[in-house]
Amino acid sequence: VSGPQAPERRAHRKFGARLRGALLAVSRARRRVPAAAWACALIALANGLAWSLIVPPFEVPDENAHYAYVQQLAERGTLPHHVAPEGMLSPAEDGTLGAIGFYEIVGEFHNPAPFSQAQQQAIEAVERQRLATRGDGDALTATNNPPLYYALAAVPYELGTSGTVLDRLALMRLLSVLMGAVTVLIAYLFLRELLPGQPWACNAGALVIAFQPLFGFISGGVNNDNLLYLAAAGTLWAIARIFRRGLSRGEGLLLGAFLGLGLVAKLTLLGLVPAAALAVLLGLWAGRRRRRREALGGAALAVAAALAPVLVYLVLDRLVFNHGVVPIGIGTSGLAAGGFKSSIGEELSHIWQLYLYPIGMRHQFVYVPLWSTWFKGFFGRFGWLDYTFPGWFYYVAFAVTAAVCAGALGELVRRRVAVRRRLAELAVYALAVIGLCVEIGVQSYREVVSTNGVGRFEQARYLLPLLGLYGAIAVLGVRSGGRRWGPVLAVALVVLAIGQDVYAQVLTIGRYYT
Amino acid sequence: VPARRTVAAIGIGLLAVTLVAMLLHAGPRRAGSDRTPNGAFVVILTAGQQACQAAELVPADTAALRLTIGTYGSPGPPVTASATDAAGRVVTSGRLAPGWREGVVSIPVRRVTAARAPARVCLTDAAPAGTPGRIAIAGVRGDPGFTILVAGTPEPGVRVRIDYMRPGRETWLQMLPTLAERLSLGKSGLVRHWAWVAVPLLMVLAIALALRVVLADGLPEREPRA
Repeated sequence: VSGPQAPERRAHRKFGARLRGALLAVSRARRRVPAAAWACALIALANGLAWSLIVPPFEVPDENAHYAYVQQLAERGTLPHHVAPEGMLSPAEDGTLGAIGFYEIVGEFHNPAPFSQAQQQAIEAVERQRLATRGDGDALTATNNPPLYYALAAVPYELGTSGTVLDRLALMRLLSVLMGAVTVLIAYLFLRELLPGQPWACNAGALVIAFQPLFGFISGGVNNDNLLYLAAAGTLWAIARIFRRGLSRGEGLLLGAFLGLGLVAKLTLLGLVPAAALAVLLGLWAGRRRRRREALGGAALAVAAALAPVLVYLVLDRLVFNHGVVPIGIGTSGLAAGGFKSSIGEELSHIWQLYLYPIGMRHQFVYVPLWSTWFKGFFGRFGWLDYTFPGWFYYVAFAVTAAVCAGALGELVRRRVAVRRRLAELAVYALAVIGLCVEIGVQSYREVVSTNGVGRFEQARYLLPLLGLYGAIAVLGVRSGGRRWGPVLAVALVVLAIGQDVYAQVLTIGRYYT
Repeated sequence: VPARRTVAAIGIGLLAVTLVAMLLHAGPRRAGSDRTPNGAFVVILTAGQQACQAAELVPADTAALRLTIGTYGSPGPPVTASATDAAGRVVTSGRLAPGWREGVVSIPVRRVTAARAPARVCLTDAAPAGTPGRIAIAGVRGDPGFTILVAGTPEPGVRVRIDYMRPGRETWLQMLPTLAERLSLGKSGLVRHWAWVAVPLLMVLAIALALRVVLADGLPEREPRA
């Protein structure tokens, strides 16, 4: 067929074929994901939505600061900057925070959320004033964060243009919930990659993650941690794929993409960089003979994909935003204005004591962080760290955790031949844990130095990038029951996780509404 | 499979029983609070003296004022409480009989049918003048914008904590309509009218789906292709 319209028709046909191809690829990719993974993601979505509706506005840690960051980005197109003394937020946000009683509720366990219609009328009166949405550029504790999460959150912020601060916050919370669901989806894929063979156990592991109440609580709020969790889960998944399938261009790109994404979401992901680097090196080593070119290409793509967003951020930061990237690393703490003396020795000691008992060191904590901060915090400390489960709950949680960990250890011993074969991979995950712990420790020490020993940085939510490994322990724990008792253990563990999550929600309703 | 189903049924049954037990647990419930921290005793009253603070919101359904009051170890004297609106009309009043023990104390007042704000709340050590003993009321010092009048003398920056209590003891079940209403306050107009019904529905959906996944019969298993 020829004629004046033939090239146009051919172009249409070409476009149609490409579109069909793309749709087919998406459909194939979707079909590659097990139905249970989608179900777990849907469960996390429902749970996160419930949390986002229960928790009053701005009661997720630093939500006021994260909102201010998004507002600065959306309203002025620039990143926030510190204003000394601490600057005002926008009149709209400040007015809303005052009207809902934020400053009286936050951190004050006995103070409830608005109870009466009179308080609601006061909030609506502030909303009717249509106060200015531009502040003086300070986003408080969020100011130094990289911008990716906030750039994404600017979309729901803009969708709520005709609405109020609370409307925009509700829309932004939806984005976080969605990120939580994707995190669980990826964590499921990580578990299937890491521990293939018994899908029922992976179902249990992913469900334990989906019902983890601290995760649900954070994913129901506006916080860049949500994108960090997603990126960290993706990094672990990509690492597992490299070990199972070999380092190819695709696997390298996947790893680099998640790392790059995470690094411009929150610098805490730097803690996983050593593990990712080791995984790539081991992938190169494994592919040195038969798949050398493919492995080299994968490594190059991993590095490029990880660095590209970071470099873009650094360049934009330098040339456009003048935002100031925070130096992160041991020995970067410097000297506080008040004269608090920092040293590398004390910093290393601080990092050690944050997780382990001090041996021959000056005690830096009057409590045991492993129990008070990490264990109790991980299993349930909510709000701005102002309410918890009753004391007995943590002992029950400890007993269950000890049993699951013992089961997981037993399973590793039982499968020691396979474990020995995969020791290098195990070392990478161990390095991921150590890397993240050191990263948190460095930031914790910086906080100690900058506040002359008064401030406390560490919170259990910083461990949630390791959710995938938490799920893996659950998978190993239930698999220790074998084919006969394992599925029963899986059901029991999931029901316990559901119970903990529901209890946490009841606790939250009691905290804010009674 | 039957064993798994049995475990799931027992687990969810226990969860449901625990939830019902929580819903049926009765206790004194708040109608509201002035959200003042009560970290220190900030007002001292001797027999016959009165302390009054303004800018209070007296919520509907208030039937008692709850405060933290110290008596220096002695049995408590009679204490009266009253609330007046901006026009000086009495919103409510009540009296605590003598002999109470120091700590968290509830002063019963006539039930308030509609919220009033701003209201002025006054507390009086109603022991006959000259009676020895004094009471200390907890609150906060250094709260700008507030002034309390103690025995007629203004004390800037001082505020006592008052929780406004609903009548009697209530279970969460009895309070469900109130809880639903509270869940709708202070939130975005996009969600506030349906949040109370969406939360249980979402959780039922999540739990049902989780059980289906973990019991695995309902979901076809597709192995991921390498």
